[in-house]
Amino acid sequence: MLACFAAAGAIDLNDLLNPDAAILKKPAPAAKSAAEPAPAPAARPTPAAAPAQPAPVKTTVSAQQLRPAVKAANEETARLEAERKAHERERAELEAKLKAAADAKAKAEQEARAAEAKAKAAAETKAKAEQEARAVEARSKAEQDARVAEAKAKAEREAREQRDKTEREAAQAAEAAQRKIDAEREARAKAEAASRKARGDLVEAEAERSQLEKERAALEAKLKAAEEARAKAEKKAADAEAARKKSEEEIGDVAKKAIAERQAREQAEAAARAAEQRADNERRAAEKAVADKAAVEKRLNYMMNPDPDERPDPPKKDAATNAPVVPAAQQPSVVAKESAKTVSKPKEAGGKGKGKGGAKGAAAPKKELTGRDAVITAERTDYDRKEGVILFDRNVHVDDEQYQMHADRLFVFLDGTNDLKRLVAIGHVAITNEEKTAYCARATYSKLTGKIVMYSDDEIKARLCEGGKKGSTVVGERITFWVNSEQVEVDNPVISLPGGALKGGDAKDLLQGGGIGAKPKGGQKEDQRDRKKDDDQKGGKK
Amino acid sequence: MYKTLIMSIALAALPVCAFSSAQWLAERNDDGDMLRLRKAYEQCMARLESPAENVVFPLETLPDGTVKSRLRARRAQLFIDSGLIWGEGIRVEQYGKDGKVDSFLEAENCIVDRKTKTGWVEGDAMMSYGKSTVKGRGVHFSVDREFIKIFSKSEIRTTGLKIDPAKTLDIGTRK
Repeated sequence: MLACFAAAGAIDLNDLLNPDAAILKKPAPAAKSAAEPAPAPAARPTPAAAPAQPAPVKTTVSAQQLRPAVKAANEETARLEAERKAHERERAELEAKLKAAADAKAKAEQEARAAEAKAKAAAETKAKAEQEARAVEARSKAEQDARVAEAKAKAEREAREQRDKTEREAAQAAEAAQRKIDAEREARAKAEAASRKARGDLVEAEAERSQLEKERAALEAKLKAAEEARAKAEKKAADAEAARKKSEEEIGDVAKKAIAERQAREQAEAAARAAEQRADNERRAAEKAVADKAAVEKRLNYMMNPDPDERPDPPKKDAATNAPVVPAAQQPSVVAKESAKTVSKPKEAGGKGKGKGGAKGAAAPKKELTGRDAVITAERTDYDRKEGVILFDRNVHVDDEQYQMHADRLFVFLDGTNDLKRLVAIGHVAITNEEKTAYCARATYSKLTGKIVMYSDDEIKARLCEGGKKGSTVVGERITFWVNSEQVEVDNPVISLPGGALKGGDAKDLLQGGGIGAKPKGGQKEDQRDRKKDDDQKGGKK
Repeated sequence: MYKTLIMSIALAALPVCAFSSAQWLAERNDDGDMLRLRKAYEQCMARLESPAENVVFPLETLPDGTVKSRLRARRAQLFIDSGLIWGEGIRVEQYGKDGKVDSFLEAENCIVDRKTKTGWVEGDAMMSYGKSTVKGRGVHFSVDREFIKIFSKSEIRTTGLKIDPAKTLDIGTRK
């Protein structure tokens, strides 16, 4: 609107705003005022820019003309003043708002700073807490590590102690082993010394033995010479005896022919009486045999039964053994019946089969040996390997393929190689095979001499029974049997023969040719030595 | 003269070296150790708990380390306080120089005292050495003194008691 005014009247606005000044002013050159364009209002002037107004243009206007303009200018001024005031108020409000905003901003910034500080403090607190937690964790870990290390150190210490202990024990064991080795070495040295000494003694004994052998050879040579001289003398005596017998026979032939007829007549009568007596004896023997058969079988079962549990106890006193034995020359038939109790069945069968073959034919065919083991049973057994002694006690039964033996007690003596050296059976000793039976109180067998000796005591007499048809029996204080030479020696013998045994050549066979009562060569000396040994053993027992 | 002197010395030495059966019997009749082991056996049976099974260990070794004898047991237990060993199903084998079994002992059950080296077999026992076999029930044995006592049902099978293997016991045979 101001621009319109300027364009229409070429009046300066400043003059309009200040009419007094405009009136008093001198007019400006026209060219210059016409040439200069009026500045275009770019924008509404700010209160600050208001004082810097251009210098007023001096025009010549009447007051009347200027009244509306002044009024408008006043109004405009008032309006501008109002606007200025509004602007000031607005500015004040804005400044207040600005101030409030600044305050709010400052407050916000302060709060932000406070929050930041708080957050920072919280972060520091958290960091501190984390640091403390890490420190605690590190401390606990360190403590755990320390405990582990301590346990490890303890285990190592224990292991070291255990190792030291083991080493000490090993050292002690090694020392003990060394001592043992030393002791064994000393013992071995002693044994070697003893062995050397024994070898020395053995050499001396060998020298003595060789000396004795020489002496024995010399004595045997002398004995042989004496035997030869004795044989020559006996031969001469036999020749002389034969010559004497021949002359006597020639003298007695005449007398024999005279008495031959008388003897034949007497023999016929005696044969008739003997036949009658034999028939009577056979009848009584048949009756007796039926009664004794059960007893014989019972006794046979007792002797052959290998089972000790089923075997009855041996009788304390054998009636047959203790029965008074009558010499055979007085009552041969009675003794024959007694001895028949011990005859075994196979022998009887063999005797019948052989007929009157006598004792020579009594040898039944021997059964074939299988070589089975001997079985020894007893209630108690003591085996002493150091002494080489085995003791079988109570109800001893030896079941061998070749023989059977019962006894109350049996000693078996072994040598250094565990071979049989000596046997001693004590108490109710009974030995039997299928042909012979022996009873005694005590029996010994020595393998070195090959001799069996049977002894009597107050209750039981040593008794040797031969089975078979004739059933001869030998009773004595002591019966010695040589296994190798099969010869028998009897002290204080009582020989019982069956009836009719002394007829014919049986008696001669019995008493001659290494039969009962014959002694082997050198048997007397061995007998003396055995007696001395037995006496020594008895003395040792007492 | 010399022979007489030798004979007199031999006869004088005979009673000293002779076996004294009375003394030997007195020692054999001493059953104190057997009674002690029998009592200990009953006590061990009462205390028996979780014995080891299938036990095998050597008993003796030769100087070169070779096993001389070995014990096998189906079950066994060691009593440390008393030094006793209880075993069941025992088999003791002794080996020869060629490594083969020379002899063996089988026992149903037994107890062994390691201090005295003695033992007691309560049940059946069987021992075999060479061609001989020994059986029995109730056996007392000593390793040091090398003896065995069989108290019941003793039975020995052997070939060593032949009086004369070449001849029968033909007592009284006439030629």
